[in-house]
Amino acid sequence: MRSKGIYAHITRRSLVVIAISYAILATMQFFASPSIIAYAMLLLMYVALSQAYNLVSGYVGDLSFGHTAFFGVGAFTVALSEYYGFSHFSPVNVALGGVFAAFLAILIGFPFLRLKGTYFAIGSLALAEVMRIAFLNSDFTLSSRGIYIPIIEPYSRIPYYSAIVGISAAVTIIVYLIINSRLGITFIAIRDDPDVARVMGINVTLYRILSLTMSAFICGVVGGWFAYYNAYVYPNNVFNMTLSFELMVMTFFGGAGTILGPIIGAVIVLFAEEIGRTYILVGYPLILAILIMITFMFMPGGIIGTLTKSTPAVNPFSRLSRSRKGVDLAEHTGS
Amino acid sequence: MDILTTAVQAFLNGIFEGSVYAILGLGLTLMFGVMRILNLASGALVISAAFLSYWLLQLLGIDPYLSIPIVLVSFFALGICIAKGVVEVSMSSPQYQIVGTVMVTYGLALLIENIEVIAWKANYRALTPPAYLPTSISIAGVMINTIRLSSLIITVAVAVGFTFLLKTRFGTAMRACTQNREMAGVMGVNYQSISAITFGIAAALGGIAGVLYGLTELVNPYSGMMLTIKGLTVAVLGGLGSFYGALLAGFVLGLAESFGVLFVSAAYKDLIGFVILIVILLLSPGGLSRKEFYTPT
Repeated sequence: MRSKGIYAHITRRSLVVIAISYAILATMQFFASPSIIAYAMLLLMYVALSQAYNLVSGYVGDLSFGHTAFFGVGAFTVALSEYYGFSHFSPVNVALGGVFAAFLAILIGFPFLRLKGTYFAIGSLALAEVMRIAFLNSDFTLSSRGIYIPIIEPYSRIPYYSAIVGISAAVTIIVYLIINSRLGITFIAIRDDPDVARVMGINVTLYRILSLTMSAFICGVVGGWFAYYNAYVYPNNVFNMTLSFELMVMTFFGGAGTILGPIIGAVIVLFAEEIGRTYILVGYPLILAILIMITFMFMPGGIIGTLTKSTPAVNPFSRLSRSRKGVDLAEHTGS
Repeated sequence: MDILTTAVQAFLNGIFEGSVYAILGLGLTLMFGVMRILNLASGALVISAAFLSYWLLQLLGIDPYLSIPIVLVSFFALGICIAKGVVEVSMSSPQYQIVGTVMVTYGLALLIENIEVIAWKANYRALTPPAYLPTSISIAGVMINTIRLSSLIITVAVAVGFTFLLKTRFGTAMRACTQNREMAGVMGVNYQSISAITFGIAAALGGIAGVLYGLTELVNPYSGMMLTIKGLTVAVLGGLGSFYGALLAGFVLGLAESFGVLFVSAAYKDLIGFVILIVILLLSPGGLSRKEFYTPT
């Protein structure tokens, strides 16, 4: 398979790597220690979320700062249906979480996706915060007390772990299938030049809404899983702005618009956070911050983007001899 | 009589709070207008200024109002350093310019926040106002908090100063870069220098806002992000790139929050700003100024 240009992200190599990783993860649950399992669960959650975020921001190019809204909707759907006795411990709840999140996406998609890039980013952030404050102060959602979700006795991590392994594997496969199809090419076309896409007859807004909806469904499902796993849902937790930014960092750090990118990004970012937590305690995102700055000053395409040479790495010292306009064209047209 | 007093009080509160928002928004809109970047680190810089003033007071006993010139100069220099060192590099790849600058400024915000947390813990600190000021004075029968009044006065001074700045050669160059970067270059404007100096000015403005904010509210290193969002709200409300729009929008936001909490509980205070932002975005993305200086891709 070609590994250059527009198909740089869809190599068979990537899939093999991912498949092997999942095989290891699936068997790991039988002999790994609880702390590693907990870490792996968190990692897989972020992998799934980042892949979903990648759909919107990497492939279609709509930078979104409010993805935590979809995650929170999924979590609260599960929490509220448990609390109000709608149904218990069923995957229907989780799927319903995804459905409600997708519904939210469609609802806001039409007005918000008319907005251009920067405005959409800020609007999505505003939306996520509106939801957080609304949920925090509404009695229907138990305001600031949070909702406790009962756990199945006897408690074992295995079902939750298997669930998230399955969910994130499914998400990766789904995303792979999407981008490998005509739909994916459409998304990339919209990202690269929306006006030309329109000229070619693509209904840009419709496809943007479509990608947002798919992304929202995935985030909602993962949110539902998180509600069950964490057994406690609280607005400031699940509608947390930091989560949105974490997803953004993971996706772009690893390489937006690639399959392997968000996975690598999630792995490294989470690892950096853990190292920070162990050695620096309170100020732990410091490591992450340094990582982000170094990467984006010198490797704007993210790790995968730079490694596959689909984006040029930036040499800060060549800046001195550059023309005022910025990048030398020859360097930019790479592969 | 009661309603009138409440209304006047709310109005004044709104104006005073709005003054800090106005400066905040002006800084953000400046950076966006000239450099086309969203500076997610602006809130963190503002809070850093508040902390600088706090430590100057604690360690050296410098009066907060006297620390404003120090903050101005140091943050101007800091802004230029950040622009030259960090932002320019991330802007050199045109393909990833928006994402690159967003990520770098977010990283910078995280960096500043966490260095501060490590250095002096995450406790809430209060920048105590100087003792020679009476806590409140009475104008026409209404009690006005002098500190908040001072923030309004300083904001007006900043606005006046800014007007004069725009009339200078540098100000004209700045406006030129806002409107059309390439043509400004053709006309002999050195875009890199103007960008860096603009960033410095915006950082200095943020510094003033920080000191004013610190005088009226408790601050801790994590307060920065919320301020960034408020600043973004104000900047978008006024139209990204429109200077006077941002100033106006700051006061609008302050008033809206102040009157808003009269009708709904105080917990919803932040919500009001976001709702206004969403409404404005949906109705007219150019914001209050009705001039969209920049159509983002």
